Amino acid sequence: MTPVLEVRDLHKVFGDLTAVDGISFSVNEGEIYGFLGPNGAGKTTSISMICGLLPPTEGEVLVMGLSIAEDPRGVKRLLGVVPQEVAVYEELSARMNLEFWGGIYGLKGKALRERVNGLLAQVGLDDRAAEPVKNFSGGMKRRLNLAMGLVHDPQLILLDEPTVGIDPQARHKILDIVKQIAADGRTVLYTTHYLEEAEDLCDRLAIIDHGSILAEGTVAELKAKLGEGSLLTVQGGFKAPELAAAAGAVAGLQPVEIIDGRGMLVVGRDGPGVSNALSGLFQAGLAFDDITIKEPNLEDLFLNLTGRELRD
Amino acid sequence: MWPLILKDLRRRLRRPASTLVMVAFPLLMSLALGSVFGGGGANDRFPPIHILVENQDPDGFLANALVNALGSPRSGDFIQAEAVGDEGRSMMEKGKASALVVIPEGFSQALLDSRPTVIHIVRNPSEGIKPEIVVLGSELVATYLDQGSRLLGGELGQIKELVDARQIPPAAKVGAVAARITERLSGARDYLFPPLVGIASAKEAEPEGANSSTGGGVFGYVLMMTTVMALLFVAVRSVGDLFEEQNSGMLRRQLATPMPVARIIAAKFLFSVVLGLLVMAILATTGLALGWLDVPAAPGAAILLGLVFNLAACGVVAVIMGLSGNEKQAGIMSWLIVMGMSALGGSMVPLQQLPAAMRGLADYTLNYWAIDGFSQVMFEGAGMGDVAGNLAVLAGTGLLLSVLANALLVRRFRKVAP
Repeated sequence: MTPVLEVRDLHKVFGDLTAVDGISFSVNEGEIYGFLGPNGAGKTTSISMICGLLPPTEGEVLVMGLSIAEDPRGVKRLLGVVPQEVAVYEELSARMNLEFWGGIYGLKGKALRERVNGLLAQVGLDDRAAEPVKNFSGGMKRRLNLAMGLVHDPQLILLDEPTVGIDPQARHKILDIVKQIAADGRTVLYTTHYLEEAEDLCDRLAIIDHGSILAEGTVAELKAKLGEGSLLTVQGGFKAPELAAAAGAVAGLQPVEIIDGRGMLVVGRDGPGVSNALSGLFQAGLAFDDITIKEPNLEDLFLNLTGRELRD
Repeated sequence: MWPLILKDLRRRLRRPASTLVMVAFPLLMSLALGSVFGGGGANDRFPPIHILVENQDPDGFLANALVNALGSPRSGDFIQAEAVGDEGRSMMEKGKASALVVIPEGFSQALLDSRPTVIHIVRNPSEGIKPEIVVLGSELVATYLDQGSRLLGGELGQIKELVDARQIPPAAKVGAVAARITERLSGARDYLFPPLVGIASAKEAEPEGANSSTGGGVFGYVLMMTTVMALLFVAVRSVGDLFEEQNSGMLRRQLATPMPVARIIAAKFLFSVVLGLLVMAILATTGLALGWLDVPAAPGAAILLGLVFNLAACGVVAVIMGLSGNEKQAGIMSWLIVMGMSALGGSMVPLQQLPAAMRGLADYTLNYWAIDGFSQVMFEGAGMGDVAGNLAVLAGTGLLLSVLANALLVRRFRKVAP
């Protein structure tokens, strides 16, 4: 089966800065594929190249087998782009905004009206459709921003951080709409720096930083890279070699990251258990100020991969 | 392209303040300037300026020639001169005239002897524009007299002798003096005072009574002048909308659609032309309703002039924006160029009131070609053929600049992505 989106060895260099450094991935039909990374990781630049706004320095983008370099207009017809900033005409109504974008893609007459009405209902703005957008709340504008990218019923939807700056309730509404889009058979490329969103929404995701994909897979596959079991985080006045030596003496205890005063260790499901592992560390003469036990998540994986937290 | 134009029209309708300013500006200017010049209906023209002339050199033939020139029928179109004696200053104090021109005693002899002499002008402080026109006109006359006396010093002396003789001079003597004057003027005119000769030629080329056929009132004429300037600002605002859309992210979003960037820019140009025509239509309708304008004999010519002028205005503004480094620079440059063209091209001061040197520059402004064309169509009953030159200049400029601007802006806006 031909993937809906195929990205091959994509590079983008601005002078001395390499914004995207050879990323490759593919997204299948009906899939929600996440791009998880901090601000400045290269997510938006990648999206810009995929939708034809920026020419790549090197590499290739194929959408349903069509190359963006060879047939940009053909590819753009298949894409729905929802930018990170709320790009709507504030003085126009929600309906007028949607009619404009539908018109750009050649929709008109009854087909346009029906599509606009359907979308207004889908994003929950049908009762405010005639009102100028400037009167809307941030969440309503975000929903309209999303609807504007869907008006021509695209095959592939590129969502660039569509929930930035809105309250949790509005965010849940947008995530529900995105799930519905995928359930309707559309393919979604979703960039975010919110771990919870990525875990909740994405079928597969890539962790990206400094323009490179550091890890890719389903959420379960990515978590598994940290090992199966519980994640034990300890903090205290110890030195890194002391904790490493103590951990090495406990069977089934795998170090993830150890620095002076802080250590992250996985206690395997087939290992000694958390209490036994802690006993082993205490027996080595270590004292801790703080102990945390939890299931590993993507934040831990990002920390493991990059040495820093996602929101640094 | 229609959805793009419709979207911009809808946006302008929902945010009409800037467009209303463009409509209000010419109307307010017409009211203000029309009132300064004494108002008038559709069949009135600029009222003549009333000046007092105190000739303290009544026996000087050059002083008398100057007084006679001011009182000639041709001057009467603009100036009504009244000869006065000592009572001139008291009349001025009572505000009886726009200015008092005092020709000093010994004026003619001073010119013949190439000595400096001064014409005094007392301006009416309660009037703003008319006295300034008198000063400008007098400066022009002084330049004429100064240059003439330098060039024709010897011949002027001979003319004085002929005049003072108080008898019919011999034809041969008159002929000889006239021949020498003609010879000197012919030799000097090309390099000595081309702008002055240019003005004199323009006035003399105008057929007698041509103005009497016009139907434009002061209000109507000022409305036309200022509408042309307002349309330039409409173009600045409309084409500048591209920068606003760039800043709001809307342009980037449009570029992610199959719509080519050249078409997005062309749609903005068309919107600018359509909005300009709408503003023009509103102002023309208001002018007609208020009796400031008459329905022209060739309305099609007026509409076509409006169309090509708006296209040219859009082209000029878009080229400025294409060449500017950023939005702020583009705004400042557009404003300066629109104001400059308006000042030189007759949107601020009627073309015939501009100093000669400035009138030479008017040809290089869009305002001149538009005002000249509209003036012919609206006030002189001209048809399409009469303004074909104006139409050709404006349409050619508009097309050329639009193509250039499109190329510049396509290059600029292709780079909107991060």
